[in-house]
Amino acid sequence: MKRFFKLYIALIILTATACKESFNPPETNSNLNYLVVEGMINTGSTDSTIIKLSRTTMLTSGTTLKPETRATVSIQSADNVVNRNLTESKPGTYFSAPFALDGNKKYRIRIRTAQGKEYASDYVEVKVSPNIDNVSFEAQRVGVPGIQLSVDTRDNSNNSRYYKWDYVETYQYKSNNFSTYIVDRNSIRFRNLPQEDIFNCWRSVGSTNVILASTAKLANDVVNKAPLVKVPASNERFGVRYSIMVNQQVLTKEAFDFWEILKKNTEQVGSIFDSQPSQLQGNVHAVNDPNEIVIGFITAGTVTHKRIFIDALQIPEDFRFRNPLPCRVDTIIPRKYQEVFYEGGAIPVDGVFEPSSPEPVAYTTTSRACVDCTVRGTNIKPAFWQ
Amino acid sequence: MKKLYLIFCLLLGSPVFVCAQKTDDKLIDVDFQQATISQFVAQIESKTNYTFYYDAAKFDSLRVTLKLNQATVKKVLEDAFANTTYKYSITQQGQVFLTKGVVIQTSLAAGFFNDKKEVQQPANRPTSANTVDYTSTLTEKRVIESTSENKVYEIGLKSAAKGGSVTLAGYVRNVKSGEPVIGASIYNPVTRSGVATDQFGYYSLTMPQGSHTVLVRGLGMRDTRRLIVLNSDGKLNIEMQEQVTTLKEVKISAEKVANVRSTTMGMSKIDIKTIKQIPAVFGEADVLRVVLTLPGVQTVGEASTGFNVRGGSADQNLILLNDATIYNPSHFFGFFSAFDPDIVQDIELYKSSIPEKFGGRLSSILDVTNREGNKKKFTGSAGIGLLTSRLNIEGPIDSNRTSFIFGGRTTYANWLLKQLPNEYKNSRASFYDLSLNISHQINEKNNLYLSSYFSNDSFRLNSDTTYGYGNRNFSLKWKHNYNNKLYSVITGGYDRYQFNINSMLNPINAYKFNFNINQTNFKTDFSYFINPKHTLSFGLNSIYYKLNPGSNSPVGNESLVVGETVPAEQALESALYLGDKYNITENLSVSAGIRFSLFNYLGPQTVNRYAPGLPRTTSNLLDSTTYGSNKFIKTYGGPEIRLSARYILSDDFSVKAGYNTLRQYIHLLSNTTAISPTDVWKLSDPNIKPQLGDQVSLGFYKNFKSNTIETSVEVYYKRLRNYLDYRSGATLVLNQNIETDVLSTRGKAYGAEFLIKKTAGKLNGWMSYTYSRTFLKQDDPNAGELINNGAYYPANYDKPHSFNLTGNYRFTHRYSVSLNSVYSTGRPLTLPVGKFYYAGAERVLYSDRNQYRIPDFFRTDFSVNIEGNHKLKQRFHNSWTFGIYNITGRKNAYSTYFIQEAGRINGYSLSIFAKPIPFVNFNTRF
Repeated sequence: MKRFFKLYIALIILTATACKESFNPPETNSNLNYLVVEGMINTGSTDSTIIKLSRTTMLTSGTTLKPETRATVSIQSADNVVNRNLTESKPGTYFSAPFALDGNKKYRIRIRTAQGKEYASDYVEVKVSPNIDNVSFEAQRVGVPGIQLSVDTRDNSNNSRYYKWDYVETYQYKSNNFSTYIVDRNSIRFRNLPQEDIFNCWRSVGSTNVILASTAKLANDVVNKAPLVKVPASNERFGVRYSIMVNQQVLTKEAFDFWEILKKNTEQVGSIFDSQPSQLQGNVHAVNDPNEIVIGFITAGTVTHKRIFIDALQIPEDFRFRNPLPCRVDTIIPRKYQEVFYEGGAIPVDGVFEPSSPEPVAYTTTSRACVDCTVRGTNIKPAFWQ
Repeated sequence: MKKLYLIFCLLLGSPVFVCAQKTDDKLIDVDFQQATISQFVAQIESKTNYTFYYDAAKFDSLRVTLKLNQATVKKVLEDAFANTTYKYSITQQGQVFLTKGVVIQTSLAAGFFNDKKEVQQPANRPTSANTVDYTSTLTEKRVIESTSENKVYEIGLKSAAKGGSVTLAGYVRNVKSGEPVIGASIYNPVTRSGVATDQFGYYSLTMPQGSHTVLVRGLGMRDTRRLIVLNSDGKLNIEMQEQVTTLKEVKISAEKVANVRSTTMGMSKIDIKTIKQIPAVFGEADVLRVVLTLPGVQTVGEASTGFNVRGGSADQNLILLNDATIYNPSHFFGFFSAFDPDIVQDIELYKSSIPEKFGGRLSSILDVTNREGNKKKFTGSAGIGLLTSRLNIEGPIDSNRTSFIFGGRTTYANWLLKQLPNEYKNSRASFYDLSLNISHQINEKNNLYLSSYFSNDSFRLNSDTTYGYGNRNFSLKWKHNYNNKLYSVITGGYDRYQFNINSMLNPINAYKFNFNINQTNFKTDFSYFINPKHTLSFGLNSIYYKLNPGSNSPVGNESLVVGETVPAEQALESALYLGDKYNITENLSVSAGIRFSLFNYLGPQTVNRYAPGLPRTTSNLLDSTTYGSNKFIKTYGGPEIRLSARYILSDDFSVKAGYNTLRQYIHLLSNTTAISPTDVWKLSDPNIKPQLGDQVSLGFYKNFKSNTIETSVEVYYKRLRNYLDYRSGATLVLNQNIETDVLSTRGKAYGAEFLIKKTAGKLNGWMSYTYSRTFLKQDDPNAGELINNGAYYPANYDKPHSFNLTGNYRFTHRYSVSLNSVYSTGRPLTLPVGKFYYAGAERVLYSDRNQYRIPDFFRTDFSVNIEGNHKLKQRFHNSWTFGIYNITGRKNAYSTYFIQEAGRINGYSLSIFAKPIPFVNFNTRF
């Protein structure tokens, strides 16, 4: 239906009259403060189990995440054999080191909040993810031109059927201007490379959309080119080198429904051709209060991963990143050094030389974003980078 | 010709030019049986030397039955004209002048030449010739075609006159085109009785014997009257002139049959002339948009398919085009209505007192009637707009008996789509529709009407997914008049709606999806005018449904899609109805009807049975039974009551009340706010009960200023049961167990509608204010989950306040301006009340359903209509319409939505027509 709506909107746009404006819903004063439980019980031997607890916040609130701290979280098996506590690694994130669990048993999460309220998920079955066949990319010129990344997978036993993916993109990028000099206390010296490099950086971005696919209507359990993300042409991601790590999980039908509603409710709701927001039926409940709303669906199983690298040279030239703006370069004369460099924090780019002097008589500078890539990323090369 | 001849011969016959010619006094034998004047004259002329002169038109009602042996011509004429106003005179030259009322003096007045010659006595003395019979009881009876306002038409057999009431019936037609005038009123101001013509232009009116003047008024027609002398039951066809608005118009409307007098309430009728005056977004007259200006009609958004009448959902409207059911009444997702404005005659919307002959939907009946083709000459019209063009041709097939009308529309929006940004560059959109209607008069008693409609829409999004949908309708109607008081209409027809979706982009997932619903209809409707107090209508309707809920099949060799088909559904919906319009006293009139409807769900089908008292899920499935072909699986049925009464308080003030119940056996599965062309229909089955509704209403109707201003207030309260809602995350398409995903809901709606309408004068139009509320409540014990904890919540189309102004001002008969203004409360909305962080992004937490509203809606449209010159004799009559839609440019929110973008929740409101949109449309008639 979303595609359908898009076409509809296109028809409206063709009359060049449609208009999209920012809309702020009326203020609501009630803070519902529901418990939100996210995570999966990882039964594999290589991945840790991470359960995140948080609270809902008001729509207008500036905080994105309100963690639920100092809770006791444990994994329990239906036969009571397993009862393993998780430790809070950072506020609201509860963690357990990898350990293999019997895939034939059912497991649940039990939570006891700092206030002493007890919550438990339903016992869920373990879904083992098959290996990812392939992660591929394609330059698409139809619609918004961009690099479409997709995933292929299959389960020859035809048991998986419901898939969910998330990913982490990492890319190497360069500053606009190469800075040769660095301010060192109240003087300017040559930059030590590679330690003080602010020209080459890496940035990692996690997926924000829910990516699902079902093969329930297909003869074989084969996923062909399920779209992951489309990177618009001339994006910084394809300036030097790009990598994507795809994580695949297999869901039960109920879990798939949950994720699908979550996706619909947050990614495609409100247009009149979309369905009404549905109630999000999770599988976590307050032990003593069946009417309390708890958000979240706990699943169990394994995760399979696949990483690919794409060099900027591998994609068509017109899809590669081109620096959008030339950065304006100013020359700073010595009597301004104090004001601009030592106190102002500007980064010197190049030296200005005169034939008479081996030392620069002035330095050029430009805006920080043009010269310092660490503003948006890190200059530490990730361990997996090849 | 004969008339000229008569004058010429009058001159010749004057004594001044006397020629020698012998009068023939020979005796002749005559034998006339129901002879017309020409037969009568021919026989005498053949036997004598007399030559007859007369005006045939004046003798059209004369029939002579006479047998005489050896009589003089004088005697024959005397006997033949006895008891009538016909006169004769015979000259010495053997010329016979037949006249009506006056006698031609064949000689000059006595003494003119100062002679003493005796003046011939006019031969008009009545004699006692009992054998003369001016009859209208012949089998091959000729119907009087009345065109003149000043002529007295004598109807029926004088000798059969026996006092009491007699019935006059006939057709009212447009004199120029021969098309029937539908809804014309025939009113007798003395007896205060009146009727309106039906869809065939047919009327039947009972009045006392004697002389009457009946007033005839039709929409878009010049008011006229007929002077009649009623002897016994008879026929009178009335031809009306089209109204040509003059610069200074004096309207005599004192005797208009007012809305005050009918028993019908909650009914609106609009003719195409009014529809064309209302500014439409792309300049093309739009039938459905006009419906939206009527009180009690709501829509969830501009340019969306479907409308909501008095709190009913969009699938609760029965939309009929010439009696054929139109399942999707719009093109382009609702931008254009499916009805071709060039061949539509008028529309009627029944909101409250739905006649018993209609049924099958809960909320309303929208009856769109197409014109009949011009029976006299070939004409046509064409219109050109920015996005669409249309053409219509009509004309006689054989003179005066058969005519056709053809209309076609198409779009050429692709050129505009190509201007779009890259994202939509490869999109395509197109539609067309074709209509062909043929009407044939077999004889005075039998008429045949064939009508057909074909529409097709096709959209492609970026050469990926293609959507197509279309209506196919065909019907054949036979109208038979048994006598003046009884006629029947027998209709057979076939209606189909289909849509398909296919996608080829990914060869592994390439698929084609098809849906269609087919219905074969059979209807007989009888109208029986028993006497002035009772008018009976009765009949039988039957619909056989064949519904293919969906089939999905792979496309191409690589596709792994497994072909899947939800088994076809069959059902028979039948109804027997009887209604009586009973005028108890002059002031009190009651319309009472009962419709017994029956629904049989038929095999072949497999029906699941679920554990009673538990949520209906596949885990609670007990067993399933397979039924063979045409087996009666489940029968639903019951009486539907249609009651309305009118009491006249004064000449222009009446009060009406009504109660009706309705049943609906077909459901549209749609959990979106607006219905879309790709929503599937579902028949009631053992697990999904029919929808039930009832409504009680009360109205006051008062006219002012000689009935030129009509006002009304109507209030209603309505209940709905078994309306469908859906489980969270329900799959509505290709669901083999759809009953596990639907929930039954009940609803209530109430409101008050105020209407002021000015029907005549330079300024005309209407203004309405509606207060209405609609609530739904999900209390299905088998739901498992309840929306808003089972409390009543406002429906998507609940808009409490709504105001409409539609007006037209005619400066001259070439220039007029129209204004259309709409205000309504914003529709309800489910809003986020909180947010949370999940799966790497902010997610919204929704409120209870429909607890908030989008901003109020306000829009004003304006148009100028320019007619070409009004010379009658020109090849083309052109007209232009210029206008601006949404002249204030208000950004009315069409929808608001919240999406997660780069991890953050952002709210947007989308307006469709956010700027003033100018439009132009060119129309021509030929």
